[in-house]
Amino acid sequence: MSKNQNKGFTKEEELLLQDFSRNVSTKSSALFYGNALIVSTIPIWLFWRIHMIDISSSVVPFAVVTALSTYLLAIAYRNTKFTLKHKIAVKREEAVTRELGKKLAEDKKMSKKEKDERILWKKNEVADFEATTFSIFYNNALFLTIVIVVSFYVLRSITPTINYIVSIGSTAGLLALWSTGKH
Amino acid sequence: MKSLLILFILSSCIVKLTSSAACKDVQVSTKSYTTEDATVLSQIAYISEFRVKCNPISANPGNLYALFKENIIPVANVAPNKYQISWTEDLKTAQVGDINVNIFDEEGYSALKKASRSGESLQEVPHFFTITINHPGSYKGPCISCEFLAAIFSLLIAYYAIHLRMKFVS
Repeated sequence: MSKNQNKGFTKEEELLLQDFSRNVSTKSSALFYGNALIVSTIPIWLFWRIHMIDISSSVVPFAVVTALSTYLLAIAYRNTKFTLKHKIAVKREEAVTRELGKKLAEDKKMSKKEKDERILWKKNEVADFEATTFSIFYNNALFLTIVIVVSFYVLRSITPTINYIVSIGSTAGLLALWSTGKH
Repeated sequence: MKSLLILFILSSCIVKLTSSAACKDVQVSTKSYTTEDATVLSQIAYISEFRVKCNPISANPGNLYALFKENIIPVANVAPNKYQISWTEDLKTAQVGDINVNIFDEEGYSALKKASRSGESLQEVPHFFTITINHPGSYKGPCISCEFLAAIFSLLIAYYAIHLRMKFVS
């Protein structure tokens, strides 16, 4: 079915569609899930050493909440990247065109179309890299801030295990929800 | 026989008199300890162990009593001529600095009881000696808590992240 649909597109069009799609490459996906796992695991130390949760008796909530949080954070990373990628591409377009244009100007054999394609490819690469790293930074910063504020101040009087489940679960859920916004 | 009996009674009296010789020119050496970490405690404990040396050395100070405000408390005798006194106070009302505790012997204790019955001030009753316990104050933790600092730093980073995002989106 997908093969039949793809038959109508040229290679460039497919690349363009891929650029505009929410799907991320396996490499990006691994980066997102790896980062999400690290960031979701960090609060375990906080709750173990500071909130004094007994780690051996709370393995199940720790594992379940970490898995859920990893999944939700990965969604948030992906959506944030998708929202920002093209905005960043527009911002960086001029600089990339200027820089690459200078380099390619010396190459007289290359056609204008090919030069434009290279500039477009470079612009996408720069935007993709910047959007990926910024998305990770942005979501990590918000996640850890909300977790600290919620666990230490909002849910201070609640038992540590419930505090952990609610603060981590709700923060990751909130970030995933926020990331679905258009801006 | 009669003279023997009189001699026995007299010698008993002499022994009795020498054994209960008054403890005078008292020398007191004190070792004190107070708890200071208020981050994990709800009360401050004051403990003082003191050794009483009488003149003559054979004299025994006997039972001792301490006067806390208006309460008379017996002092624990932990070894010959060695005594221990301890009490606790709430963190908020705990005394700081040099705390003087008046110690009374049996004679002073009787005087205290008498003064108490007649409604006189207990502080004016002459005491046996005074011990001093120093409490430098308790440590209540840092002025700024770690979680507050962590929250402030993370809020600053989050603000920077949001500011950058707004810049990209605008």
